[in-house]
Amino acid sequence: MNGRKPRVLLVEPDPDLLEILVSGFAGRMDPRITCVDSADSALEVDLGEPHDLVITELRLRRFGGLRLASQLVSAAGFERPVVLLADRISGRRAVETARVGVRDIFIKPFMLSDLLDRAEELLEEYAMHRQFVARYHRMRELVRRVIRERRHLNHRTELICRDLVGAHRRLVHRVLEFEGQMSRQE
Amino acid sequence: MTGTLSASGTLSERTELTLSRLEALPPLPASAARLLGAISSERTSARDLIDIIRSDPAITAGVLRMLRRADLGVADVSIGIERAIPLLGFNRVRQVVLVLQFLSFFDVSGADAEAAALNRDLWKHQLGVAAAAELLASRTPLKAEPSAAFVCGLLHDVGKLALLHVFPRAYLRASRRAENDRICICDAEIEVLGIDHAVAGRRLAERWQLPRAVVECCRMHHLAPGSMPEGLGERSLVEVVHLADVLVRQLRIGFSGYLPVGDAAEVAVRLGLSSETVGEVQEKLPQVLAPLFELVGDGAANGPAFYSESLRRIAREFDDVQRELAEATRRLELKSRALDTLRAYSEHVGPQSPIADICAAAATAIGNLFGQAEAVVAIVPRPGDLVHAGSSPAMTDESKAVVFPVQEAGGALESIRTAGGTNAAVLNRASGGLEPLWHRIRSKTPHLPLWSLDFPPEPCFSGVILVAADESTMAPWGMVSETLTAVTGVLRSAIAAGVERCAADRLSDALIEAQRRDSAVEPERQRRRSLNMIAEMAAGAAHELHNPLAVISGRAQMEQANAEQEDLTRSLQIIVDQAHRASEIVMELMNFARPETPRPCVLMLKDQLERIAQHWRERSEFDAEGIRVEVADPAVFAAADEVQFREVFDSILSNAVAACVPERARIQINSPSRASDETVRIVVTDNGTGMSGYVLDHAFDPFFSHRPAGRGRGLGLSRAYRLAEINGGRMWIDSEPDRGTRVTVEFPARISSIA
Repeated sequence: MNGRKPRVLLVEPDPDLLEILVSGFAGRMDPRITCVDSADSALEVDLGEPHDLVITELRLRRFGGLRLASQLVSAAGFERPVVLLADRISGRRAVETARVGVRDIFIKPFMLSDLLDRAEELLEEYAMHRQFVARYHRMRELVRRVIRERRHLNHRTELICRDLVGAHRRLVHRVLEFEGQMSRQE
Repeated sequence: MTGTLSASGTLSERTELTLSRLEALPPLPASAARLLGAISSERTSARDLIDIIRSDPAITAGVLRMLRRADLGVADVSIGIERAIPLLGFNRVRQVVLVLQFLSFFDVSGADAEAAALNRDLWKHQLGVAAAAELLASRTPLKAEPSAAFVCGLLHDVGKLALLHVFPRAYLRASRRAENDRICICDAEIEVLGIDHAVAGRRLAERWQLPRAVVECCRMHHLAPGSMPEGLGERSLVEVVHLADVLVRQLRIGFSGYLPVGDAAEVAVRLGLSSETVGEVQEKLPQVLAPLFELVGDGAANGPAFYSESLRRIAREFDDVQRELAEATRRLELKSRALDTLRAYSEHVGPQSPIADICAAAATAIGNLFGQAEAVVAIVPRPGDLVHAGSSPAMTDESKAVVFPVQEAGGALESIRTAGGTNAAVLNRASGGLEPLWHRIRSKTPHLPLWSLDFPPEPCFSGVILVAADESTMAPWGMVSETLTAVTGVLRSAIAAGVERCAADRLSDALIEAQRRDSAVEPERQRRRSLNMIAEMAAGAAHELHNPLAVISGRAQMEQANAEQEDLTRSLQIIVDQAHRASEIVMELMNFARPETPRPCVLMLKDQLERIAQHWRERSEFDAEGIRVEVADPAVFAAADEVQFREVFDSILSNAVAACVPERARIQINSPSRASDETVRIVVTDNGTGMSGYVLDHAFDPFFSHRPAGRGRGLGLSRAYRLAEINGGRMWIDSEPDRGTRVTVEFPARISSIA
């Protein structure tokens, strides 16, 4: 969670472009980068080990970058940042990508520094998001425990009360019995 | 021994039945056989003869009847048989007895009167032939024995007697059939009974073992002398009987079934007799026959009255022939009239005549056919609902051709549409629904009853022929219905050809019109096609360029991070910039090639144009006078994609602004009141440099720009043209050098189903 290296998944069929991206990342931060060239391998790899950021080409053979994006965004249980690289994008398509959950689109050719800035942002955000989520889970867990304890406590209290009430009754009974004995003796 | 021969059995069944019945006839009575045998020999005594006569009461009665004939002068009613031979002669008595024997054998008294009458007539014929044969035999040089000839003549048609005896009703039918339909009696006999009388006679004669001469006569008496087979034993007898048969038929003595025969005199000559001989025999015949007819109960007539019956018969036949001739003449007359009509018709119509004229000529032809009657021909081509009609000339008016919609035909529509179900022309009284049709065409009601004649069925039109005529004119045509069918067939073909030709003309006109329109828009279509081609090519190329450009830019950026010298850094930056610029061009190309699908909405022209003008005023820094907007009717709307609408005018104004000198620029954006209900028109006029003819021709070409290289990319107007087009509008330019430019754009006024 904290302190571990961010894991980045690059889905890009063009090897030249891939090399540029890898060296860009290497220069800036030092993430664990996984490179694949097709959607199927991307899904496979991510299944094994969920990544913190996915950068994918929009035009992928057979599967389509957008579809891949929509699957990856929700695959790990909470929303992961996905960034698209595209030749061009129409207004309508852009709206669609936003709906799917894609965080940004970069039109080729782009300034590498811009892409890396955004990547850093998204990774930080995701890290915080993860922390927050973790904390949230912990809190929920605590709250659950509190509720459980309280229930337990209530239950115990009830038992003790019942015992007390029972004992009291028996006592009263004994007293009455005793009084009775007493009166009979008179 | 009667039975019925049902008309429904097969021929062989009938033959079998007939033959079996014949076989079942009893054998010849012994006395008859004896008599026949004894005819050739003279050894029968008078005594034997008297015995035979006495043995059979019928024979006795018959002989006595003969004896009592008035011309024998026997007044004494109690005369006895013994007087017969002296009075009549031995031979004659012998013959008479023979006749009586056969008469009683073939007794048809049990059957009905018609059969009895036929029987009597047949016997009269046989007796006639017997007598004639006897007379001829004694004259012929061929050496035929007279008494043998008598017997042969008597029995030559015994087959008929036998068949009548065995199946009276069937034989009556056969003889009637032969008479009515003029077919040979032998053929009729075969048709009804399975065999003819020659075969029946021969079989019977053979069974009874009659003399050979009789057998041969039975079989061959019909054959002409020349065609008799060789090796005939009693050839001369057969020939004599044949001649006698011909003679008796010619004289119509008795009845013998229909059989066309030649002239007796000719046959006689062929046999070696002279025609005078025949004449002599003819004269003697009544004398000989009168007493013999007594035997069959019909001896009253003699002398001239003998032939009265024959004459009656001849007269009847003559009447029949005359009647047939008259009918045939009438039929021929009608047919020749039909031919004349058709010839006249074909002279009046040519290959280019309109349908209604063809109908008029047809009506005239039909009118002539029915004796200058008033006629109307109306047809409805399929598909369609116009009636083409023509009428024949009448006394006061000429032949007319009219065309009118089907509704005006009154209730006749259904009649016309469904008429003509059969292939044969049917002439009927016209149904009442057709009168309004007549009225519409001739403008008056018919004075005579209306008749309708249907056309044979025809896929390309349906029609009807109407004639006004009385019953007597129309009745004879029932005889020659095939002629009528032929006439209507010819007319139908002519009309069908006319209808098809009209349809073909219409089609060819439509084709010519389409072609003309097509060639008019050809240049426009050329331009659009080349534009599309370029666009597709550009899109394809552009597609591939993005990645290489990204790699160029990315690499340069990477190197920039490592570069230390300022020069190198600057160079690398230039590389990055140019790569990005290249990408922009590519983007523009792709946008041009594949513009987004327009989403039309209703735009208020005034608003939109004002906004565009304002934008360009700011951008160009022209004053308010420099760019002006004038919209005639504020309530004018256009239907187009908003962004694309703006882009079109951006391109136009960009060019306009570039063309004008800033201080004196006058750019006018007008929208006059609607060009039409479907489109709105906007005109942008400027007073700039204008375009030369060459530039104007290429104004819409992609990448064509007359501005210095490096500024603008030459896609603006092309893109504007394309955008206008995909929004359902169009665009064109008028320009002259130094006189300014006018760009006109049209957009649809309504959001309709724009493809």
